Amino acid sequence: MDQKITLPRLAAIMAEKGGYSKKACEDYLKAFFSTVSDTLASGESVKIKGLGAFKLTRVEERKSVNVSTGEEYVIPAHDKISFLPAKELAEAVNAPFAIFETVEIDDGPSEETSEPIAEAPAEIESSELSESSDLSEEKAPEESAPEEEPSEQSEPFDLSEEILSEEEVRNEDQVVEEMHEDADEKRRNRKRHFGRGFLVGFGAAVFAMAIGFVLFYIFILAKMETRIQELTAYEREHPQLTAVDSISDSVSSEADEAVATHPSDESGVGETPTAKVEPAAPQQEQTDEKVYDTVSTTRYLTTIAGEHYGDKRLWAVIYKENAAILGHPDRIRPGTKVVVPPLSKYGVDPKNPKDVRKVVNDGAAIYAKYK
Amino acid sequence: MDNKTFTETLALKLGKSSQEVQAMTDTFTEALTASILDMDTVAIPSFGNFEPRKRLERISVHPSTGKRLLVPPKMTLAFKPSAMLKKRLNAEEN
Repeated sequence: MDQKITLPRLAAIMAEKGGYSKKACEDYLKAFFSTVSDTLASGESVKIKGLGAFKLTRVEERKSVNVSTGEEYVIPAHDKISFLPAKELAEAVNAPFAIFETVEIDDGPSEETSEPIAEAPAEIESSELSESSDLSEEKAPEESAPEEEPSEQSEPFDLSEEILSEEEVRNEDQVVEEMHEDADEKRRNRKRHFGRGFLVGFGAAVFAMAIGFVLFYIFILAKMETRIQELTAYEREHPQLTAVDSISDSVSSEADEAVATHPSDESGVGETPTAKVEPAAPQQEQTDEKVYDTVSTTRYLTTIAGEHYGDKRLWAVIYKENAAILGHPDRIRPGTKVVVPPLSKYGVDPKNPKDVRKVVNDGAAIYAKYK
Repeated sequence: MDNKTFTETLALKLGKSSQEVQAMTDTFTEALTASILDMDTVAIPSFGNFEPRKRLERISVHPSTGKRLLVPPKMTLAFKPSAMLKKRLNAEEN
């Protein structure tokens, strides 16, 4: 293996194979190669049966550059020897690899292998997107307003708020999912001609996505149901307690503060039934109380917030309520009808600077999402 | 120079019959092939080296049908003329 066979050794091998004397073989080989080189030197090509052909090829003179000095020089015209092995010899040499054949590559398998790679980042992206939107929703107030005490975090957001945020998350997820599916649709149209393998892979991906979606629904419904059961059970046990108390208890914050931030107990009491109804039928939330307004070229969310709440900075509340139908807050289509929720729904008191700051931070978070 | 002329020239040089020389040539080819299959390089002084070379597999595209073909790896026999032979060629040439 990887040895250099010299002329005497080749002669020895030959002698062994043909039953000649070593000396005769060596003489023969010397004569053989001198004849070949003589013939080549005289400008003639040589063809030897079973070995191949030594051909002379004319190479015209050409310019070249000395790599180290950069000087130009001319390579004079000369003859080049090219050796073309005979067919039998070439086949014999290639024997170890003779089992292989030239095969046609159809695009199917290559698409198949590239598909999961192409699919995976998209999946991750979508989940990341929904996650990051969740995070921005939840973390933004925390990070940007660190001086607020932690109890404040949970206290103005009572049960209805929690459910609503969940619903928002789900809506966003749906939107993301739809976007993702749209993108897939486009991709499919583009690559329709790429074989069955790709379609199968795509089908599997869609199926997996559908299953994930269904599981997500079931999870949320189950969570809501358990919460309703807990609430009703709690109320059955303590019928004498007021609704406000039950809220403050379940949220596990100081009851005093809860009462203080809910300016009138009526609103708090009025909220609990809706909170209980909502999970069962989240789509039809308090239709009768809804106040509508329309965005136009001269009326923005800020204008509406200013008119209804007396504070333009509270536009994020309207945005949150209508997050499902709104995109970039600066690019709302004129004529879009938005629901103007009562501020108490989000536990925002326009006179409380902390609440206002929180809403402003929410607005910043909404902008951050569209950067 | 074709095979027949070559064999005759060689026979004349060695003082043997053409048949004998042809038989030896066949044996030589056999020996060369065996050495090459062992991945050995056969070096002939003042003539050149016969060496086996691996060619990697590659993907080629059929120019007219546009089909992609996977060409398998293969072994080839390469000949590299020695500097002496090259010199001699062109010395007589010029």
